[in-house]
Amino acid sequence: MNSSSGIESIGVRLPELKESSNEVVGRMKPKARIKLELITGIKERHICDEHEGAHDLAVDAARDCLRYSAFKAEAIEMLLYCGISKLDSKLLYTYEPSFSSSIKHEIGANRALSFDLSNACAGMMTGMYIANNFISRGIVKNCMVISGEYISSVCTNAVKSIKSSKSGEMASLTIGDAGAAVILDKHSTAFEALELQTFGQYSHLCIGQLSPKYRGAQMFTQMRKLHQVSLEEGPVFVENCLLEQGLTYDDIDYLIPHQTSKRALSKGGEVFKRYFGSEPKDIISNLEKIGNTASTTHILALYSILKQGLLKNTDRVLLLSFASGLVIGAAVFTVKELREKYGH
Amino acid sequence: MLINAGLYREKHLVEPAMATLILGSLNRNSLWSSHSYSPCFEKVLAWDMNNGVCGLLQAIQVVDGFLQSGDIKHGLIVAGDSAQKTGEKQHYSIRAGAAAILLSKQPGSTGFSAIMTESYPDYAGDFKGVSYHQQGKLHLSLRTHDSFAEHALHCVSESIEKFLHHEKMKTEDIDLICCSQMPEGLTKSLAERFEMGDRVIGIDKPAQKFYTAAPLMALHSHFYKPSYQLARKILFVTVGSGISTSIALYNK
Repeated sequence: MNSSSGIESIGVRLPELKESSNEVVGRMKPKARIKLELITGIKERHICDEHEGAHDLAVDAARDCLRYSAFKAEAIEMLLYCGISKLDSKLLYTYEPSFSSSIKHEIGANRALSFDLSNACAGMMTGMYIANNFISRGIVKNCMVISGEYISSVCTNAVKSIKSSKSGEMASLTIGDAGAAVILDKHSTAFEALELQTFGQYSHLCIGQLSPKYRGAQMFTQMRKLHQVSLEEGPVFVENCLLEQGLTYDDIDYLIPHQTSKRALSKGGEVFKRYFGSEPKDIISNLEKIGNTASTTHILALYSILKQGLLKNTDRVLLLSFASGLVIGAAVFTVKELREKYGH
Repeated sequence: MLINAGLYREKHLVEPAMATLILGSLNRNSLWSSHSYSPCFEKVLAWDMNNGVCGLLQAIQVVDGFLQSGDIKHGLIVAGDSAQKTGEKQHYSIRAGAAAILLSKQPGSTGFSAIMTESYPDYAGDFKGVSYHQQGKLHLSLRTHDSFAEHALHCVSESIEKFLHHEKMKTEDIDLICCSQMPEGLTKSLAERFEMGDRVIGIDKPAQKFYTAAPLMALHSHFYKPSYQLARKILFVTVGSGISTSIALYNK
């Protein structure tokens, strides 16, 4: 897609409370216990306390984003909420009214056009894709894309249900909570590529639903199959996406993939290296301290490396999304002025 | 592009987007294989719009934008809600049903020309759809405050006036208003408020229990009637939780 918008600022929110993989495993039935930290590379993840929910995470992330933005809240013209979970601190799930409507008024973005969308872990990238269209056509000057993922009940409920390491709920053990926000505008360095595609034939491979048995949600994943088809479709999708914009994989300095597990990232990196015959300077992983935070993972990882000063102005970043559906998405941009905003 | 604007999904599904499952089913359906619009042949992005009754018109607004920019050639929007057979239900009387609309770029000024959405946060508590666990069971509850109908009428009337003012139009310029099924009595109230009589149409009584699909059901039920056939400028109006309103002008 032709793009004339770019990332103006980003913000995040991580709950204070943490839970280690050892603690998760310790709560599992003895026969089901696995070496979770070793397999996934996740040492700990942040989880909401009894006073926090998805809405709170999103609002806090939005406020953090505004701290780095040249825009005041009242100047935000469009706001999209893109989270999967809409659970509050008591695990009450809100179908309606929309989160975007209440969040925009809570942060003071009262005149923003708003709606909620969901597209599993590709929610925020889908939001950016839609925002870019509205900005590129001049309908709005900017858009805040936000998500609050209070999804740790998926892990809590999996711990209760899993009887063996072959359970369809194993992927649920990687989950952590987080909020993220990004403001796109037409003055920031535009995306060089921004594409998403749904491979609906694989839509049945990961199903998340409110649990009929326990409070909160449950997720059932055919992990091996989902990983396999992602790595079959992923390189071709990325190659086409880059080629359409006159780019190649060689042009990418940093790859930020969806954060699932250490093994998945490592295997994915190998497959991409074999396919393209090259590799980026680094494939970013923030799994160790955060885990898999669904739609917020890319913004959390980007925020982390911006804060660390890892990126140079000239570095080109590829955000690569793999989500249930199967949805694959790619957003390519050069860091430029974004770097200075985060202290470097 | 394929958007699902339905809200209440089977088994309280939250992931993946229902639209991806719909796309998967369409791809498996051999009837599509020779159709020129077949999603099998195109690169499709499927996702869910979650904005209650107003989601359908907002989905049309998004698709319209992608059609205008040339990023897509066709956009399929599906809106449907399930009867919710899992768990307990309170005040949930939504009838299972779905509708779909396929949009493509039209020459000249034909088609949707303006879409506006407004929200009225003072009335956010008037209508809520929530799920929660109680005594070991999953409950789905639609909570409607007594004041919802009155507030919804006020909001939608204000939105229509704002829309007409923005488009430099008067009610006389509108041949037909096609409105959502909620709140009850909206069709009659709008007809009286804007003195438009039978130029305001809604959904027939037996179909009023449909939810996000209702505006398309209303359109479908009037499609072959003289009032619709003769109309040139049609205003689609929805009002739902939030309170949110969406207004769309369609030029035939």
